[in-house]
Amino acid sequence: MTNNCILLVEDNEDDIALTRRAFRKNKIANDVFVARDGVEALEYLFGEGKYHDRQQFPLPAVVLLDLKLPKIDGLEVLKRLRGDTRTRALRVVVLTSSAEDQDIVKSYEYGACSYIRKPVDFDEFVLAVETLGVYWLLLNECPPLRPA
Amino acid sequence: MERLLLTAFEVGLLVISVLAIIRSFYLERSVRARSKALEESERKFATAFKAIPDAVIITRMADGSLIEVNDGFTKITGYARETVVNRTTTEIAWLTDDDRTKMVEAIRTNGMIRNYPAQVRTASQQIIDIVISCAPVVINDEKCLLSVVHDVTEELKAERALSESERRFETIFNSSQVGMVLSRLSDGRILEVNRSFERISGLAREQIVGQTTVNVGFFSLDERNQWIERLIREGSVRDFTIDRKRRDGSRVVVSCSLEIVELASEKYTFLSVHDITERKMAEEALVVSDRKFQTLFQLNPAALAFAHAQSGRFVEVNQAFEEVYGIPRGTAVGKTATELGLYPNPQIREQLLKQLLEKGRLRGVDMSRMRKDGTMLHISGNAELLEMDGEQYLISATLDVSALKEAEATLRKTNASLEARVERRTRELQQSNQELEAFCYSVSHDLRAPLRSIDGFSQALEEDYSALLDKQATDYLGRIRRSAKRMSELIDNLLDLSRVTRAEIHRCDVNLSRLANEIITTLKTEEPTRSVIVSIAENLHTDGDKNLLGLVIENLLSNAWKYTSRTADARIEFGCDIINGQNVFYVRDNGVGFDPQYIGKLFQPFQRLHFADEFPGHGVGLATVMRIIKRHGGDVWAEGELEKGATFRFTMEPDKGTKRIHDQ
Repeated sequence: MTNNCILLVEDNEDDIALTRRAFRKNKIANDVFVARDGVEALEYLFGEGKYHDRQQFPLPAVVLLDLKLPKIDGLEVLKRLRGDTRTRALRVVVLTSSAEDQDIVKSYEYGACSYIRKPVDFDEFVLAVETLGVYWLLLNECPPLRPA
Repeated sequence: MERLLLTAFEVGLLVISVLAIIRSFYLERSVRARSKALEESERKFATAFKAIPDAVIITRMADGSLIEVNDGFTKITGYARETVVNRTTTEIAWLTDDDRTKMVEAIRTNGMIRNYPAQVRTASQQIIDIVISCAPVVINDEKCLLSVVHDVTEELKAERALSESERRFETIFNSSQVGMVLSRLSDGRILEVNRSFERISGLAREQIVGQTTVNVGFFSLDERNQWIERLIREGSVRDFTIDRKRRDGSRVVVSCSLEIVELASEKYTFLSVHDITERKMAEEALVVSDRKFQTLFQLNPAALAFAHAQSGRFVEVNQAFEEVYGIPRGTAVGKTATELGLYPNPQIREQLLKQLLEKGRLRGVDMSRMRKDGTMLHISGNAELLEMDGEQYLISATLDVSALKEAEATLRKTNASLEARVERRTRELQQSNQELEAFCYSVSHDLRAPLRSIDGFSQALEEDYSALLDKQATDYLGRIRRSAKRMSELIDNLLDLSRVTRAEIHRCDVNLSRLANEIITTLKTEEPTRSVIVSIAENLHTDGDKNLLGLVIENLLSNAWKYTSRTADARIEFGCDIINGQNVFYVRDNGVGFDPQYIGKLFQPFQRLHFADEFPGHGVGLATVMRIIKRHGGDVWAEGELEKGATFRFTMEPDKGTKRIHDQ
């Protein structure tokens, strides 16, 4: 069972491609699951619909959540995750396109752990996951620099 | 009376003398028989002696005894002849001892007394007033005293009554409020005046008596002649008015009457003078007051009306009433408001009248009334009850407030529509603000997305396919990436500017000096190699939003820092001047400055006076500064010249008369 996968919630294909490239370039080989909108993200995380198989679709070590999403937006997704015991403790890093204050403030209000400006800058990403204490989970090939 | 007494006395003497002659004759010729003639004379004497109404008493001097009294004595004293003859006066005690002693003394001194007033006691013990005359006579060689007593009781009574009447008259004469003057008709000399006339004329009796009314200035000569002529013609002149100034200047108005009186066959004028000064002045004051009232009544812009409270009939209305209600005075007077059709609903008049009778007054009554021409008027009025000559009158003052009410209604309507407009505008503004926010949000997210892709994939090409790209291709990719980055920055700046415009202002005390120091420290840290002399005035405070003011200072100091980068001995100064009582903050540098002809572009967004490769930047900083300052109600302007530095000044409150050097 792999519980060190990453769930990327992102609707923009370019951003998905660039994010995957950033991971790849930095030799992160963790499974990256992609949800294209808020509804799909919630289905995955609550193990509903096509994602009912937890074996195949385990809870991720970290969720990269874009705020601007079709159907259900990122803040709403975050709120629902925090309202459910199964997902309350999930580590969520919010992806933002800008430094719009209200988004960041609200994200923290709803329990975001950190945020990264898009496109995912790898250094920022590393800093974020270090803060989350899941750094070692993500680095399959390299041992953790220090125990979490 | 005196004459009468003398006559009685003389008669007495005559009688006594005759008697004495007769007696002597008788004594001398006692031997002879009485002649018939003598007898006749004696008889006549006796008759006269008896007939005299006065008391005649003959007293013997030697012993004081009474020899003879007549019938008059009995009549006056009540003593019968038999009871007194041969008795002494003392025995009878009809004279008081005191009187008697004085009389004897007077007789001894003067030989006789005449009309000596005394009192005697009558037989019935009544005291009566008498006058007594006594003279010594010799009868039959005997010294006797002849006394004639005259009863003056009645005369004294009459006399007393007369003097009483005179005194009464004098009292009345002097105490009368009417001034009285008695003058001789023939020469006009004043014989007597009373006290009231003294008071009225302001002159003392001594100054008047003996003068004429003309002399004392009471009448003019013409007046006097005129009145006297009329007086002689008509016998009297009544109630003519004279208006005079007294010698002391005070005014006196009198009503006079003249009469002719005849006293002891001489003609006199009797002038009676009523002082009517007060009444006259009161009348005049009343006339003035009435004229004042009339003028006020007519001039008053309020419609005024007097009406009988009972009947409601108008007694008087003013011009404003005529104008407001379109009813001429002649029509209104004598009619009621209802008859004149002033009340569209007569019941209202009844109610108002009832209220007025209860309270005595009405204030600020608003009602509708109808004009003669049918126009409805809006009236505001006061009314009051007034009692005059025992009758109740109703005084009302009404103002036509139709125009006012209309204006009020219009104003209310306008206000309502204005409020609605303001509300609508506010709503529109709020909506456009929301749209702006939505726009900014989408700019920041959606516009940036393609840029991210351009930059991201250019970078991917650069990194992943560098071996396949020649130098030129790499240069192109570099340009693509720089452009994307620049556009991304422009978007960020635009968003910053819009955020400044939208942000709520949280006012508090802001220490600008501290902010400036922090910013300079940061700038120095970023470029430690720069050598700039920075001077920041201490303790510059203002009231405003700390974050926004931080942006202002940061922009201004960063600009100064940037534009002095090529200046040797770079100097930056932050301070404050007080101009017209207002704090004017400034940031001054000795950098490249700017061409004043382009000053208008300084504060416009994305307008730059320098090339980006010369001095990097996007042209948003000063636009941001201006927006923040304007939002605080202040102003910002710049002074500068090429190569001579620039000074940026700003205030934090509305202008109080400071002349702006530039106001762009």
